[in-house]
Amino acid sequence: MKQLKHITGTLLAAVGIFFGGCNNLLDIPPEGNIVEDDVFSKASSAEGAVAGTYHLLLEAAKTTYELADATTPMIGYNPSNFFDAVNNGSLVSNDGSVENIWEAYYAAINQANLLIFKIKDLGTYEEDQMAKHIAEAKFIRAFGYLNLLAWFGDGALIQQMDKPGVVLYLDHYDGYDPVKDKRPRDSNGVVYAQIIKDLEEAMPDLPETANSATDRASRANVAMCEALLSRVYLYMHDYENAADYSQKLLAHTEYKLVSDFLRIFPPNENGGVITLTEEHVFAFPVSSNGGNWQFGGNGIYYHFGNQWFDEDFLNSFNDTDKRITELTREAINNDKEMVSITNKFPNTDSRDNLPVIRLPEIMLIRAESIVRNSEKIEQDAIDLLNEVYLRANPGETGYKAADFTSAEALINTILDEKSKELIWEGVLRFEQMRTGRSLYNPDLAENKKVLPIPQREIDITDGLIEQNEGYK
Amino acid sequence: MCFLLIPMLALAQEKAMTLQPAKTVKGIVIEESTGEPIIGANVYVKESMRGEVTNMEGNFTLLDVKEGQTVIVSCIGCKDWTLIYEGQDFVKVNLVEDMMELSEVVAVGYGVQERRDLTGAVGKVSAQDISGVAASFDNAMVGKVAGVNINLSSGAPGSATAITIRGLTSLQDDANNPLIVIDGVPVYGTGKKVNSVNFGNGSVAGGTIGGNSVSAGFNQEPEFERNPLSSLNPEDIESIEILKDAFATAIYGSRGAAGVILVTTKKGQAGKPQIRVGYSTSLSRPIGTPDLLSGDEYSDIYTKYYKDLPPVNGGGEYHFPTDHQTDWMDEVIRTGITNEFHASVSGGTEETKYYISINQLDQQGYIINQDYKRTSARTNIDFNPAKWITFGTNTNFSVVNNEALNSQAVYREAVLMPSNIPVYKSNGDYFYHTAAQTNPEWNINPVGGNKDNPVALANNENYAKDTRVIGNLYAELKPYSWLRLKSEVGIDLYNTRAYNRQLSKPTLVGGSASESTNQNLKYVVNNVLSVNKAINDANLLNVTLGQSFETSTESRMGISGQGFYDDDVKSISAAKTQRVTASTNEKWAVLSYFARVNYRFKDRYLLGATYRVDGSSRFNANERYMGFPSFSAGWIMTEEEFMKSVSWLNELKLRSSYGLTGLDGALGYYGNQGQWTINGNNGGLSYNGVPILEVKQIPNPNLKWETTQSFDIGFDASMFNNRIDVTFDYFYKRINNLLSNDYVPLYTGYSTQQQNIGDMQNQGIEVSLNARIIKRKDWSWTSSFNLSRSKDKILSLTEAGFQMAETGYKVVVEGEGLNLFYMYDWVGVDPMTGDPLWRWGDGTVNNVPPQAESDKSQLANRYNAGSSLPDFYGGWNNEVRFKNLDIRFSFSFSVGQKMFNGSQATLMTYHLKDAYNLSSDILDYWKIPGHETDIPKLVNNTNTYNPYGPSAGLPGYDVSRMNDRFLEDASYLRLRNVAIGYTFSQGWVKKLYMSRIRLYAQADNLFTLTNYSGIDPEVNAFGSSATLGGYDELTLPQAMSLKFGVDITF
Repeated sequence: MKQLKHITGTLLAAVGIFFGGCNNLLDIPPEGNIVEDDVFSKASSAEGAVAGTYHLLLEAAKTTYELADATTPMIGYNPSNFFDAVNNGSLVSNDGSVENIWEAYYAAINQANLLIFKIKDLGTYEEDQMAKHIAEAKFIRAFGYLNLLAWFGDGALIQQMDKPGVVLYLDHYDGYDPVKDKRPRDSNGVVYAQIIKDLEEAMPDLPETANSATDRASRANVAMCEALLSRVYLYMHDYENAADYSQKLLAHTEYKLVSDFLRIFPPNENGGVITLTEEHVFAFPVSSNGGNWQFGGNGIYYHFGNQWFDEDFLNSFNDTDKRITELTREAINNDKEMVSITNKFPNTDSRDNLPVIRLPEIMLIRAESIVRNSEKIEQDAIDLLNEVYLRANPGETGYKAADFTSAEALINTILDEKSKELIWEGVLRFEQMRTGRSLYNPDLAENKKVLPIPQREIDITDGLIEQNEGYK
Repeated sequence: MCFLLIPMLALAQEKAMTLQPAKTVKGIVIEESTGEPIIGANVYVKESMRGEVTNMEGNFTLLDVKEGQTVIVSCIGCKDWTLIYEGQDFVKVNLVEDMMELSEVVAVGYGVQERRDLTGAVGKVSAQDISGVAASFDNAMVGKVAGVNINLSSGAPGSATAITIRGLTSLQDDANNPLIVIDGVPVYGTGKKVNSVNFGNGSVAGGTIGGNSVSAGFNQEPEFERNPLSSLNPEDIESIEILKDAFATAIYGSRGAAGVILVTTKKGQAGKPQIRVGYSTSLSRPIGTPDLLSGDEYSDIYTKYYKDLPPVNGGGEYHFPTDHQTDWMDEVIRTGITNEFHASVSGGTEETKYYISINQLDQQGYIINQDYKRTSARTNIDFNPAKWITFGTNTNFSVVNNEALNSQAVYREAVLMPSNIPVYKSNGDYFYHTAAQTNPEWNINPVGGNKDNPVALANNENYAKDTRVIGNLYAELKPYSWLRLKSEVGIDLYNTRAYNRQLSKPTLVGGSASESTNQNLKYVVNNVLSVNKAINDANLLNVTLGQSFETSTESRMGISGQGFYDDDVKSISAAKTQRVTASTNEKWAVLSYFARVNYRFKDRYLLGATYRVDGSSRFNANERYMGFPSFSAGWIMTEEEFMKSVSWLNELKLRSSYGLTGLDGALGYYGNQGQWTINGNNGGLSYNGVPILEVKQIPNPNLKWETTQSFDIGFDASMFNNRIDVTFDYFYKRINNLLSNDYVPLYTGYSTQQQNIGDMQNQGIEVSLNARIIKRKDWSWTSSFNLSRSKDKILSLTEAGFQMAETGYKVVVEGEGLNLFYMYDWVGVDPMTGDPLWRWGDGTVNNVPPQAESDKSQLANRYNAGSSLPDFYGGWNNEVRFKNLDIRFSFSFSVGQKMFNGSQATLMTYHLKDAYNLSSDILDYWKIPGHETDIPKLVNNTNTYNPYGPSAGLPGYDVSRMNDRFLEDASYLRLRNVAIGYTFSQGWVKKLYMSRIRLYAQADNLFTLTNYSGIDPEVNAFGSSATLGGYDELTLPQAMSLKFGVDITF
């Protein structure tokens, strides 16, 4: 019996040891995943997260890139529920495609928020590198908000600064808190101010530019911020600042117009990696993403021929305009008509790079702004206009001051040239809207020129978020 | 049931006996108080250790008994009877009940307890209740235990079962599945996560509902959810205890939040080896099949429909040929033949006891070429070298080869195949229908695109092969009579290899294949100390202290390939394109400490308390440990003096309990922390050369535990000479911080996240009644009845999130029950116009589908059309014995639940370009003004109504899964099985060295009383998920089967 007691004692002791010593058994790290706190502590993984955020911005841009042209009078398209609904003003507030646009931009914005907060808190790598990552996140956030504002901000492009814009959500999401996370929309003016603030804060921490054209146009730098600021101010109708920032961009000597359009928009039959050029200011380098049409493409399917040049618009080009002769081809539409479609995105697996800001846009912003500021026919503006015009029409002599009867006429020519240069590049809708030109449907009511705020956002905030007037 | 208890010491005395003339003694053993024969009593001669067990009539025959020898008769629950033999020819033995021994022992989690002292709610099913009833023990338990709702989801062999104990306590899919513990090992139980095999092409169970497309609302997913419990041979099970209330489950802490099922397997008993051999064969057919259109009718309907349809909607003069008439149901359905064999041997000495068994099940499903095979072997050994120590092992090894994964897909496609399409081409190859504009050789119908061929699909190779070992090793020390120390190590090794092949066809040249390997490995270590000590006569203390560590690794690899140069080449490495579809390895661990104290005072006052602390690797680091207490009290009133006069009442015990359990919100593996992962699409995406990191899981630090407080009050009564037992329970559960995936504002960057969305309650009653109605020598009738009701209610919702992200079309509304179908009110068909009519929220009735309106509030025009959960359910089980003839029959019923007859919705959907076959009910479509019918005219304003113009296709609001048109009451009463058997134990049996032969016949699902118009009111398109229950989506109905078998005991 003594021995028994001994055994019992030993066993109890053994159990006791086991009881005390297995806390660490519960610390099991995930395999194949990285815990959020670790992502931001190292330069390599933070770099991956920044890359991922640019990718989310690309995913967002893909949701609106075609729509921004399909809602202008410069194009025609085969029947499409969504395009029809936007153009007819028959969108409903729970439309899934509208929800996708809203969701995709906010996904990029909130990942940028996360970088801004977490790198500061958790980063243990080089200060400069950390500051650059945060500045890039701010650029992404600014770009995201500008697009949201342009699509959803009621009157945001026609100087109605006090009307509701979008929800500014600048915190990093850390689990849903119904009290603090229910937000109303901020006014257009407040959102614009935040965009400008982000870009201004980003510039000191970013490199001026970069050596290779592809690096220069795919990751944020000072020049890219300047270019975006010139677009922001243009949308705000603040032509002084638009003129200033476009001038700043033009002062960088790295950026030049490329004479050969097929270098900017190469045929790309095999879907190989294509470098960006000296005139790309901001572009998504989709061709080097990896993946295929399903994952990692640009989501542009113009090669199917469902969208084409409006005939009147096509006729406004010179016959020899290289943008027509080199960048379009013929196709047959659903109504069996012969139409011209763009060749800017020729790869059938959607593996072409996706330009966002090209130098000609900045040149024309500068040109338009200085004319608007002085309300005179400015030779500087005509020179910039000619640079863009003559590249596509090398045989011509270009515009002269005498060609214009008024400053207004010069501005109109600049705007027309912008349409010709930038069509199919996801911006023309906003050009039409900010200048009071008509959209695809000339009879569309003014309050239907923005998209409806997704109904679920209104429901989930108990009506704190207001619907745009045209959809109430 | 009695057991052999033979003191082996007696062996030594045999030699000392003097020679005497030996005689043969016959006799009968009866129970003194009732005069009932006792079956299975052990009768033996002490000196020779020879003996036998009494037969069905209580008779025995002892050979070679000499005068002066001692004859002993023993039986559990009775006092031993001893006789010094004096040469009699016939002995009548009256056994007296031993109250101390009678008390039934119940497993309660880390120990056992006498039923009399039990203060928690525990249901019990014993071996004879489930023996021979079904291939898997969970299927055999249907309708047997109050408070346990078991729903067989499909008729496919080896498919999942939904088990819920005391109603829903969570909105999480897998969180309502009880914990299943086999011989102390918490095994991989029911649940989609661990048991689903995804295989790209063919399919069963699993599905999604939703999306914008109204008429094609259900999407069959290529997924098969297996039943993990079917790997166990039901014949090996000694008893199943179901822990229901908080006091019973709290000892399992967070693991037991949805109830616990304890399975105890058979052990050997000292004595002569008991050998049992059984064989059965059965035939099965589906309990019904849908009535479909013949080739001619199919052609008529579609020709007319397209003729009436305006060209702008795609109408036109189309001719649907009638050259072929195929009955696809006939082509794919067969009479399935199932053979089952089991053998076991058990026995042992006082030192070593063993139970060894083997089982082979070879089941043919009723769909052609869909087979299910199980081989399992069990070894249970207990070794008791000294009084104070016992070692042992319980091990089950099984191989389950499920080649029936395609059953659901074959059935669904066979139902939907147009009956004017042939099975084979004239050259004998399979015919695959393709779209009209393509290859004329493969085309028949002008509308109706690419189709699979169900017969070919059934013959495609597909299997999921499970190899599984569930076992434990234990050592128990008993240094004092009142103290036990038990240590055990358990293992559940559950590996699956699944392969699925699609043969080459016009739309898939070269075919495709997918293969997956799941490896699940779980270890459990339990250390339990128990004290059972009486302190003077009045106090009895029972203390259990323990610790448990459980860790599991679940890995999954999946590959798929497309384009094989030959259909006979199986290896995916030979495919033209190959892809890795899954590669994960996930681990978790739970460390727990627990204590239980039971105290009994003066044989009548009972008190209990348990406490368990769980720490889990899945919990958030800052909430790593969580404690779960419970308390209970009981009062055995019949022990009181003032109750002694109530003579008809043998025992009455009141009991009550209260406790807390909880569910952690982190259903992922690594808590609620944010996680990132490298992009894995097509080799990984990068941005300008930098590989992309993506968010895999968003952080959720605010998430709280879902907690359940449970209260239970009930009584156990035994009356009229213990002939009637009644158990009654009332329970109330309050669940706070319900977890559900709910919407978050998109401007936060995300669309949904797990949230604490509100509080709910669940209350109900359970009644079980056991009656030994007739208890005579020649015949007896035992009957048991149980009835359960549980009613849930959402008490509050924190958010506007009435429509949860993952509950299909069901919504969660404050003040109402769970699993509600909130639907548009389909009124019927206007007899004057033939258009469907709906009733809008404001009461107006018109022919505009409310679903087509963009609701500002999505519930405005919908109403509560009922729940998929029953109002009450239960079973009635009977066993009648007349001499050697026995008859058993079991009914189960479920009343008040609603089922969405998605089968009928699909079979009424004719405006899709697929041009599927239809229900023959469609023939009664509205034809002329005044025609009263439920079927609208073929082309009506709602299947052509489209706010976006004609190009958007036809939405088909008349067959939408959001209408109550196809929602039906699915109440049923089912004769689950009836069996008749005859036992031979006469002399000729003995001459064959056998002690008993039982021949029997059993019929399953013989009839079902129901108003449900579909085939089977019991199916669930979503497998084990109770929260997604209530959808019949051409789900395989159960089989009706007839079985013949023999059981031999040596």
